[in-house]
Amino acid sequence: MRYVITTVALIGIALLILLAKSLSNSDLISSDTFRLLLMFNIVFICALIVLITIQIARLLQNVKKEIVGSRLTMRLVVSFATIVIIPVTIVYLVSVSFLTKSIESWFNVQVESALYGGLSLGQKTLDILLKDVELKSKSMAYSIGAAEESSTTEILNDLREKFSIQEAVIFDNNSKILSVSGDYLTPLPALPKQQDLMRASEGFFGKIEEVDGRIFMKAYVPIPSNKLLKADRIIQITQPIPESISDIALSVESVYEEYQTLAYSRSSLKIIYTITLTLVLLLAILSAVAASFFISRRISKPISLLADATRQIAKGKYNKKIPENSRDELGLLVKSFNSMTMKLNDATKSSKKSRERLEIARAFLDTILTHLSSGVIVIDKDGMIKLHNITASKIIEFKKIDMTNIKFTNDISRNEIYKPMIQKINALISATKIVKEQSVEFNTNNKSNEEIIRVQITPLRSEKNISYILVIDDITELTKGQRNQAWSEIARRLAHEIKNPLTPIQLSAERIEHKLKDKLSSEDLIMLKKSTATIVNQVQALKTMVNEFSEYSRPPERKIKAFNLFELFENIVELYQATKIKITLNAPNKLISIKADENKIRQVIINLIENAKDGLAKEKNPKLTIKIIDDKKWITFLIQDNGMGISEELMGRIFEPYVTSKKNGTGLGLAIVNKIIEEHSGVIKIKGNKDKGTIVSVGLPKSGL
Amino acid sequence: MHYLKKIRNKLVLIWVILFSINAYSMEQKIETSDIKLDFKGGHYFISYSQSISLLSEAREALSKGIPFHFLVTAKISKKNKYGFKSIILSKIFYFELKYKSLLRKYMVSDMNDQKSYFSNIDDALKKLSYIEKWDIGPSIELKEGTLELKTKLDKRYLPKALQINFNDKSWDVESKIKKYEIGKLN
Repeated sequence: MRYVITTVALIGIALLILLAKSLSNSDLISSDTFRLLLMFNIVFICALIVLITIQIARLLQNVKKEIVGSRLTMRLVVSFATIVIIPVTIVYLVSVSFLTKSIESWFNVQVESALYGGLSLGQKTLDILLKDVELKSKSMAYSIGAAEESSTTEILNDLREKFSIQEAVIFDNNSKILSVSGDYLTPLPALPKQQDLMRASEGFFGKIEEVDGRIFMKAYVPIPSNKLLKADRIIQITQPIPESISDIALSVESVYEEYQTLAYSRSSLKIIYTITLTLVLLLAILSAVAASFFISRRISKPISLLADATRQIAKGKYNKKIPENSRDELGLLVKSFNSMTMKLNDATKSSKKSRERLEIARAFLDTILTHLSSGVIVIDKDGMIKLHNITASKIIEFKKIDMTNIKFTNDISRNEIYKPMIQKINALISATKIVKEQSVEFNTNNKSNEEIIRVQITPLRSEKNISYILVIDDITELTKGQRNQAWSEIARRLAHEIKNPLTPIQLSAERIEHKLKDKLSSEDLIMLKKSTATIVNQVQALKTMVNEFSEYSRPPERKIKAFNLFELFENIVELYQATKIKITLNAPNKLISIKADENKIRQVIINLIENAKDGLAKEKNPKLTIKIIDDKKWITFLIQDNGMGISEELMGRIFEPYVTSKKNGTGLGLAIVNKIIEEHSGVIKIKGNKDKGTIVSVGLPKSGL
Repeated sequence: MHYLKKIRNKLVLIWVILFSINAYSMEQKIETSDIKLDFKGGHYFISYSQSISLLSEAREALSKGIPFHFLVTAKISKKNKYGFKSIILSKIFYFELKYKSLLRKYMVSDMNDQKSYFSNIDDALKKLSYIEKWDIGPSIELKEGTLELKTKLDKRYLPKALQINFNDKSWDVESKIKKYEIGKLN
């Protein structure tokens, strides 16, 4: 486009110069060339119109498509075009008017009258001079006619000199020179034309001619003759107009003719100048409009690029860079914009990275919180839950999975047992007693299933706000484990300290009886035997208790092997056939293979059946039902009796040592059973209501682990 | 029907314009006739008659002192053995017609620069009506060939404004190119 406009401008200027040149009377450009130039200019204007039309169409199309910068370009083009068209049109109109008036002013009446007057003066002068020559020639003709023919030449010379005539020649009717007289030697006077002589034969005939830039008068007069009625001789007088008069007259004529020529061609001049000016106007306007497209695009391009880049940035593409082509204010703006976008891009990248890191950290935190065995709840100063994990909702038994932005009140839990704990936490927070990390343990007082929860409250201060992080742990199992460990230690020490003296005590008692049985009276002997029996029995009882303690405190040791659980149950049940308890064994088949320590499992089963047997002691119709369930990975057996059941108070601590409902029980049986089941990675549950029997459910993994 | 009528009207208009142009050109022209070609002393001499018709506008321009220079071009050519035209002789000459305001006469200057003065334009044009024995140059005598003759008003001598006024046809005064076979003329 730049090159097209430059080329167009150069061609236009060249054409205009040629056109202007052709208007002068130069021989450089002929009329044909001028026409050709005119056609070139018209073609050129048409080409410009086509070019501009295409540009306008393209611009309108861009505006319609809402291409960035097109509206600005259009506005600039219209502005430029208006700025050019209005003054140029005014100049054109003024020029045309001025030109027309100027051309008209060349031809005013006074000038024309003066020139015509000068010409008339010249004409009159010539007429007067011719009249003078006529008189002189006639006088000469009469004088020569009256004289003798022999003296003609002499008289001719005298008269020519007398009248100051340049040349006088006498011809006969056949144009034969009869006599010549001149003020200079003329080798041969110019012969008169036949028609001039013919006219002269009828009387005076004079004419004025221009020869080599000088004006000559020629007069023809017939010379009268006395002999003949008709004149047979003609005198030709040639007299030049005085040089001073001739020059002036010719000069006036030349100016007059020039004036007349100009005056005649003024309408053509007006047309040509008007056409030229119109072409100049059109070329100027069209070139300016064509250039305005280029200039407008050049001006609007950086702005368009800026607008486009702004849009791109608004869409989030911060790596947009605009080429810096100019050093002006726009260039500076582009440079600043590029700098800004670069910084923005860097900041965005940095922000994105931070966000990603934050997301990762958050995801990491979420993962941690999700998989954390502790429940975590974040509460703001108004008591609203801002964050919590699944474990917290499980521990406190939230009504909904997500309790975010819900007030931390009693209503959040489905279970009534947690309400005191929630109230206590709220009381602690609202009383603003918590300054640093504080740990509180709560026992839910659940009779059937003891539950101990520890809540760690940590205040989190940020500027004016304060939040609280509650870390909630169900430490029931931990507490139980600690308790069991303590019991195991006690049992181990008791077993160690008590077991050793028992055998000497028993042996000493037996020896006393053996030594004294023959020395004592029957009454004393009876008392001795009774006493030693009591000692032996109590020692035996102590041994049993110590053995149980040993069993409870022994380190975990298992001999895992596969065996048929159904067969084991059959063997054990057979031992109780002699009792009055009706035992029913249900199993899906007779081969239920399991990997476990068979002896330990036997101990578990016997212990549980013994407990059931004790519970059924007062039952008139004792029943014991054993049911084995074989799943894919687990084997569960249920032992159900219709005995006295277990009180609610005992149920929560039933697996703890020394917790028993039996009068003579050590309270270690179920503790040992629980220990064995835990060692086999199994699960034991006891469900029993007072006087409604007991159901014990034991689940063991088939694989033994 | 309406369109047919329109087309018919247009055709009538075009015919009128063409007729006008034709009539115009009939008035403003130079007719050459009676061409005679003589070969004497190794030179060809041409004699012919011509009739110059001028429009009132041209006559008015002439009376204002604008000189009319008529350019006469004569060419003798013959075909060579390849059939192409070969120029044997080419000659141009001018004669001038001008009104002398001071003398109030029309001046005719012929090819030999001989000036003649006439009181009216018709007498002046009559003077130009016969061109006698114009020496168009030395040559060998041709048994066959073509003589081309053309006379036209040379617009280069007109004032520039009149020259370049492309809309004005008053100055298109010229004869058609007349072609004569030399054999027939002799």
